[in-house]
Amino acid sequence: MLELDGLTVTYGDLTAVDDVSFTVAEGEFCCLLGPSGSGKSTVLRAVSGFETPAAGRIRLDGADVTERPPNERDCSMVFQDWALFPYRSVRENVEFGLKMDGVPATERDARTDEMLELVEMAGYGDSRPAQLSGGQKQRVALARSLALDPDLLLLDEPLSNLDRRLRETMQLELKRIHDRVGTTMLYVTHDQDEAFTLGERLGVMNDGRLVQLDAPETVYDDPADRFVESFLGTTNFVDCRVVDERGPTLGTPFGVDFEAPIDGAGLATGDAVVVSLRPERLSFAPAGRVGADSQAVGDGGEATVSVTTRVEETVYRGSDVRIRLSAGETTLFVEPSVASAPADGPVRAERGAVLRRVRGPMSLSDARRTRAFAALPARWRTVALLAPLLILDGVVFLVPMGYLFRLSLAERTTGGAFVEGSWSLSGYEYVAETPLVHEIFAFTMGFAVLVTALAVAVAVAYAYAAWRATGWWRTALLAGAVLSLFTTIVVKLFAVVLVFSPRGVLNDLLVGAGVLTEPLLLVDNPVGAVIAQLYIVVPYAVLAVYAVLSTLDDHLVEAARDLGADGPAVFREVVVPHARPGVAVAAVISFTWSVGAYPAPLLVGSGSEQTNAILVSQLLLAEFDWPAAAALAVVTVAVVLAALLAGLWRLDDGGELLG
Amino acid sequence: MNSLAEIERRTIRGWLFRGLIATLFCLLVLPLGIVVATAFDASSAVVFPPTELSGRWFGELLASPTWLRSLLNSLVVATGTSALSMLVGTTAALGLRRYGGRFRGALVGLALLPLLVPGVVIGVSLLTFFSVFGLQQSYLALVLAHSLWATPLTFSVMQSSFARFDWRRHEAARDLGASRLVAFRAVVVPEVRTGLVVAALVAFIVSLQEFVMALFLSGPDTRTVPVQAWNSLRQSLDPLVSVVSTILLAAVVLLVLVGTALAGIERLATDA
Repeated sequence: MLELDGLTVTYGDLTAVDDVSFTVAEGEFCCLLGPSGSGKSTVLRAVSGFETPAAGRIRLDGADVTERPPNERDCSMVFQDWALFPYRSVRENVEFGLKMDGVPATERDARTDEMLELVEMAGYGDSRPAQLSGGQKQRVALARSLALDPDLLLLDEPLSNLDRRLRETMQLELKRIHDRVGTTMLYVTHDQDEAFTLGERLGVMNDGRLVQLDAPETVYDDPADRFVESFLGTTNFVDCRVVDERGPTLGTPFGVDFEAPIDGAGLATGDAVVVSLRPERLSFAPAGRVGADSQAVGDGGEATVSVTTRVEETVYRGSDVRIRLSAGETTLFVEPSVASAPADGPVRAERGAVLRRVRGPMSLSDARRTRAFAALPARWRTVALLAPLLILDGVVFLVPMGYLFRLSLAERTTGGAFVEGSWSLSGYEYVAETPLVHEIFAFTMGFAVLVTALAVAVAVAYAYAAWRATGWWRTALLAGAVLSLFTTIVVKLFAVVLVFSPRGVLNDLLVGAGVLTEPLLLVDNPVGAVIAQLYIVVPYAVLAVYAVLSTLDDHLVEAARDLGADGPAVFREVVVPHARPGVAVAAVISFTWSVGAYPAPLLVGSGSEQTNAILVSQLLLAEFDWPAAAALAVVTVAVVLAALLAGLWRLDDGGELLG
Repeated sequence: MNSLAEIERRTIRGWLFRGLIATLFCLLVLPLGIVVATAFDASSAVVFPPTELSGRWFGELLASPTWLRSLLNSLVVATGTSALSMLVGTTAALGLRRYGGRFRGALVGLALLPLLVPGVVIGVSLLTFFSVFGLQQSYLALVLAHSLWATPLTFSVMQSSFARFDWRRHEAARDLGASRLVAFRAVVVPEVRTGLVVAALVAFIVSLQEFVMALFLSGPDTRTVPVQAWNSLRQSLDPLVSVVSTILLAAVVLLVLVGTALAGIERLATDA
C-alpha cells in the first residue's frame, strides 16, 4: 500500500529524516513512535507531499508519488491542531474535499451525513469549529479526511492536544473507526501507551532514522537497540561482564552470576555487556520467602537470579508503586502493583527479569548526507512572488536613483540641462565650493536635528500616554495620531497658517485676552518651519513608538510595581528600555524627512532660509542646472543613509528597525 | 511610607502630564477642525470663527472645472496605487513568509527603503528619469511613485496578517485536493480579508494625501487635489482650499472609521 524507499528529508544542513524505508500493508494500522524531533512527523509530511525529499521514493498503491503535489495524492492528513477552517461550518469542513473533487451536491450531502454519523457528530453540522470542544474538533477533522475515502489516512499526533481521559476514549474510538472503515492508517505519536494501544505494527524513530519496525510485542520484548529499550519506559541498565561465553554466563555488579537467556554468539569471556532489567518484570519478596515459585518470563529465558537488596525509597504513583532498591553499588527500580508492595526491610529482588542483551550503544548522529535538488520549485515560487516588488523597486526606485547619480556626474552647462554623455565632478564642486550651499546645508542639518529631538520627545510622551490610557481616551489619542498621519501635508500647512500666523486663531486669542499686545511672529520664519515640520512628522514618530510599546507585556510593569517602582520609575526602568527600537525608528523617520523638508519651510518658513530640498528643486526647475541639483540630492541622500545606518548600528539588531 | 506631601507631588505630576498630553492632542487635532470650520463661512476671505454659516463655497467648488479635474485625478491615482501596491505588497509578504535565506534582510530593507528617502529626492529622480521616456506628468508616473510609498505599508499590513494565519489550514485544504491557488482563495483569503481591506485603504489614503512627489510629477492634466491646493495656497488664502481640505479630511476620517470598524484602532495604529 505505502512504500518508502530510502526516504531522506533535509532542511539545510539538518537531516530530519535519514534513509527511512518501510512498507505499510493494505488496511494496516501502523504507528510511528519517537521523541520530538526524531523525524516521525516529517515522514508523514513527506508522504502527504508537504516536504520534498532530498532522496528516496514514496509509492502509494504501487504508483510513485514522490514528485506529486499534495492535492494529487490519494492520502489525507489529520493535523495535530486539526486545522479546521474557522469560517466554515462543520458540514462545510467535512464536504470540502468532496467539493474539490467535483462530487455532485446530492452525493456530497449523503457522504457528509454518513461521515458525521461515523464520528458521532451528526447533530453538529451547522456549528462552527470555534463552538466545538477539542474532542469534537478531533472527530470533525477525522470525518473531513475520511470523507474522501483516502487510500491512506495520515494522523499527526491528533490526540496530543486532548486531556488524558479524552485521549484514552478517542484511542478506542479510533480503533473502532479503523475496524469499520478499514482504511490504511499511519499514525504518529510520541506517547508509547498510545502507540501500543493503537498500532498493529510499531515503528520507533530516533534522530531521523527508523530504528525498529515490528509488532508491538516484539518491539517491547526484543528492542533493536538501547534507545528503543529506554524509550519504552524507565528501565534498569546494568553493566555486566561475560564470565563464561558458554551459556553465556554474565557476572553482575550485585555479586551474582547468571546464565542469560540470550544468543551468545560473538561474545567472548571478559566482554562488557549492558543488560536491561525492566522494573515491571522484576518480582520481589521479603528476604525470608524466596522459594521455588519463580516463573520464566519473556524471551523464554531460564535465568533465575536472586539478589538481596535494601529498599531505599517507595514512591506511590496512583495505580502502581515504584520502589528504589540498592544492591551493592547499583540501584534498581521495581514496579510491583500497590497490593504486593512489601513493607520496609530487607527484600530479595528475584529473577523473572528478562535479561536482555542490548545490541549496541545509543545511536548517535553520524556523518550526514545532504542533497539539495528538491528545493528548486519552492525557490522559484518565492522568486515569482518577490518579482513584483523587485520590479517596482528596481524600475521606479533603484534605477532612477542610479540615473540621478549618473546625472550628478555630468558636466554642468548654462542654459541646457546637462551635457549628454559627459563625465565631470562639476556638480559636486558646486556643492563643495559655493558658500550659499554650505549655509543652506548647515541650516538644513540644524533644522533636522532640532525637529528630530522635539518630535521624539513629543512622540515618547504621547505614545506612553496612549499606551497607559484605557477605553475611549486611548482610542481618542490613537485616532488623533492616525488622523493626523493620514492628513495631507498641504492641509496641515494650511492649518498651521490659520492657527499660527499673525492674524491667526492663536494670536487672535492671546491678543484678545490681553495676554499680548503685539501678535507673535510664528510663521514666515524658521520657527514656523519647525512648527510645521513637527506637525508633519510627529504622528509618524508617535505610532512608531506606540507600535513597539504595544508589545510590552503588562506583567513586566506589574512586576516592577510589585517590586516598589512608582510611575516615573516604571517609565524609566521598564518602558524606555523596551521602547528603544521604536524611538530609534521615530528618530530615523523624523530626521530623514526633515533633512528632505520641502513644503513646510517653503510655505511657512522665511523666504531667505532655504533647505537642501528647496535648493534642489530650484536648481532643477528654475535654473535647469541638473548636475548640481543631482549632486546636492545625492549628498543629501548620503547623509540620510548615514543616519539610517547609525540608527541600525546603535540598535545592534538592525532587524528590529526593519521589522 | 508615603508622606502626604509625596502623594500630593505625585498627583500634581500626574495632572501636569495629563495636561501636557491633552494639549498635544489638541494641537494635533484642533487645527484640522479650524480648517473645516473656515469652509462653511460665506465670505470670500478665510475667516475663523465663521461669521455667517453657508455651504456656498461647496457649490463654487462644484462649478470649478480645475478643482473637479483634480478630484478626479486624485481618485484615479489613488485607485491605481491601491491596486498596484496591494499586488506588490501581498505577493512580497507571501514570498518572504517562508523565505529565510540570506537575502531576507536585504529584501525587507528594499521594500521599506523608499519610505526613508526624502520625497523631493524621489520626485526629482523620477522626474529626470521619466522625462527620458516622456512619462513625466502622466497618471502612470504618479501611480508608480505613490506605489513606492504605499507598498511598504501594504507589505507590512499583509505580513502581519499572514503571520496571524495558521498555515496548517492551507495545507489541510491542499491535502483535501485543493490546488495552491484554490486553497489560498478558499481558506486563506476569508481569514485575512480584514488585512486585505485595511491594506487597500491605507494605500488609497497614502496616495490621496501624498503631495511632494505629485508636485514634481503631475502636469496641468494630472494635478491631484493636494497639488492644486498647494498652488492656490502659494497665491492667496482661498476659501476653496478650505473646502477641498474639508473633503480630503472627510474622506480620510471615513476611511479611518471603516478601518477601525474592521480591524480596530489598535491594529490600524500598529500595523501600518
